[in-house]
Amino acid sequence: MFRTQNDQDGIMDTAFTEKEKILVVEGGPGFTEEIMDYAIQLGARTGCGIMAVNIYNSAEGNSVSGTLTGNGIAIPESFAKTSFRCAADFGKKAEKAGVLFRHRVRSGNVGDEVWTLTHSLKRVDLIIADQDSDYEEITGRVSVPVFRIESDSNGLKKKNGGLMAGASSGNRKEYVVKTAIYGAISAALYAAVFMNSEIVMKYFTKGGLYSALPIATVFIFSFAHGGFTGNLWSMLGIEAVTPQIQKKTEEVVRVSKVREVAGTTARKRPQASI
Amino acid sequence: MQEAIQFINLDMINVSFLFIVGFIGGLVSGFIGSGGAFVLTPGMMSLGVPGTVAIASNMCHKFPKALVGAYKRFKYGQVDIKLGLYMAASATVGVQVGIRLQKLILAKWGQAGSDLYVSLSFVTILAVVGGFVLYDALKAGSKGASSDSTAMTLAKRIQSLNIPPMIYFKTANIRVSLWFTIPVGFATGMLAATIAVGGFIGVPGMIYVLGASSFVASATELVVAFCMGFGGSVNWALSGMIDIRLTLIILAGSLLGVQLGAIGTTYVKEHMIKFVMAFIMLVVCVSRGFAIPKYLVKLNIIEMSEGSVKILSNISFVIMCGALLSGAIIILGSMWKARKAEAAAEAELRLSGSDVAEDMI
Repeated sequence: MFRTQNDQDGIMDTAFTEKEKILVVEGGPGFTEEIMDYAIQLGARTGCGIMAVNIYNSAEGNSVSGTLTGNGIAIPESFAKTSFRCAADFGKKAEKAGVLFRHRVRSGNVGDEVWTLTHSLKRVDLIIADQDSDYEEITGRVSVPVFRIESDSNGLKKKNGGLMAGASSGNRKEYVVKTAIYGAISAALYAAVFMNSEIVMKYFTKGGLYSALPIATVFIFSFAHGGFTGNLWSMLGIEAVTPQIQKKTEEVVRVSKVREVAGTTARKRPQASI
Repeated sequence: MQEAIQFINLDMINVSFLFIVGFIGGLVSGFIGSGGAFVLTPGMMSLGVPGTVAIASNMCHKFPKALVGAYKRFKYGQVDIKLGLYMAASATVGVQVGIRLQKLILAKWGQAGSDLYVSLSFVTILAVVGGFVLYDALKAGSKGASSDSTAMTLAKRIQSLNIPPMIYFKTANIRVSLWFTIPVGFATGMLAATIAVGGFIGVPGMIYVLGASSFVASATELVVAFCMGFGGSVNWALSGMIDIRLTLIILAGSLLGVQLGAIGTTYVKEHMIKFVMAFIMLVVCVSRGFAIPKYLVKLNIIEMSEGSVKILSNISFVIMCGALLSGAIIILGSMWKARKAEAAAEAELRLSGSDVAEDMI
């Protein structure tokens, strides 16, 4: 049985404590599909357990009320709830793959929290993060290899229920807003032409210099209506599947690997220090 | 000339029909690089729009649609702009020649003569090219190969002919003489001016004569369509033949479709594009075949009862609707199927990704 709880630091079952671990760090309240799949498959193939952590950046909202963590900084209830809900899904998937899973919600600076975790937990072999900012903060603080898995931001995975974090709703919101704006412009343009169709037809079919009118009109319409339709498909989650999206993920992992190797003194298996 | 042109009245049925046909035409265009107009021209003619107005209004909706589609497919790395511009330059000449020919026919034989010319061009070209593309697509599909067939040997031979100036097209990854791109482009333009669908020469031309892949050929055709559609539209606009209402209604549907079709190309294998293109071409070819007697009767070349002409026109219309629907179903179905396969491949990719990580531990 996996656990998603606010375990107090240091209180861990022995089986998990002694196991080699992958630390999955998320600076938001959820985990992306990519990170979950990657961590679970890596865990299953290497026999590592997964310690998933959602870190609430306290600098953004110290005044909110919520659950107090060990360092005394409040975590908003919504953040904690979303984190636990997503972690439950993560845990179920890990359990299905036979990977030991634990979850925590913490608050504070990502770099500091990861440093604390790598020093309080035994045998952290690898850290996985999915955001540039988290990655940069973590790599500067710990000697454990850090992988950054880039998530698909174009909405494709969202349709498959992929992005579980709040970021997905941000993208969707953006598409909704853009669709609404372009849609309104497009509707207004259509109304303008068809409500005055007699005048329009009179001048647009005159030929000569008036020929610029239909040409300019279709350009304007294609911009407004094209913007509407493009955003509409994105809003509905229908986006291209390109090999580049997948390659991107692979490349990011490889680049991270190279950077990590270059940044550490030797390509040795990292040892956890307590 | 303008007095001779009649603009139709628009009711809800006409508007809905044009919107839906526009959407499906756009879907086809986004997927195979052209084809929206070849469905739309007879579609509008079925509503009673004169052939020249149908072509002019189509062409005017085609270039902004092509622009939107080309932009989308450029983002997927499928557009060879250089090839598109070379093709477009020679196609522009073809368009001018085609328009002059069309105007000559209109002046000499009137509307019925013009309609007959358009329909005959449709039938001849769609039958020959469509048949060949279908043969190749079926062969490639049965082999399970992503492309290539014996039909490609012509392209290889042409590429091996070193007639200066030789040009290298990076995205298409072909090196071919300018003297072969010019005729392909010219024929594309000529056909575009006649039946508003140059793509049915342009795309197979780029595939079988120049040696580009179906993806690159169909995406690059959108660049060609934009350039010559723009030039052609200016010409038709000068004659005052563009019915902007028709253009805008079709554009409303086709911009929805073209983006979906462009997305669809990222889901399917190469021969699927050829298959869809050939299938639609041949069904519309049959449809237009049934419409020809009507124009022959008008020109007093043959005699036929009014009832028979009407029945034939109805059959033509129904078959054309069938072509539209089948094309859309094939595209959407193959997108759906490919999307599922893609999800499976993605899972596999993640597994191999963990191998990379494993090396680190």
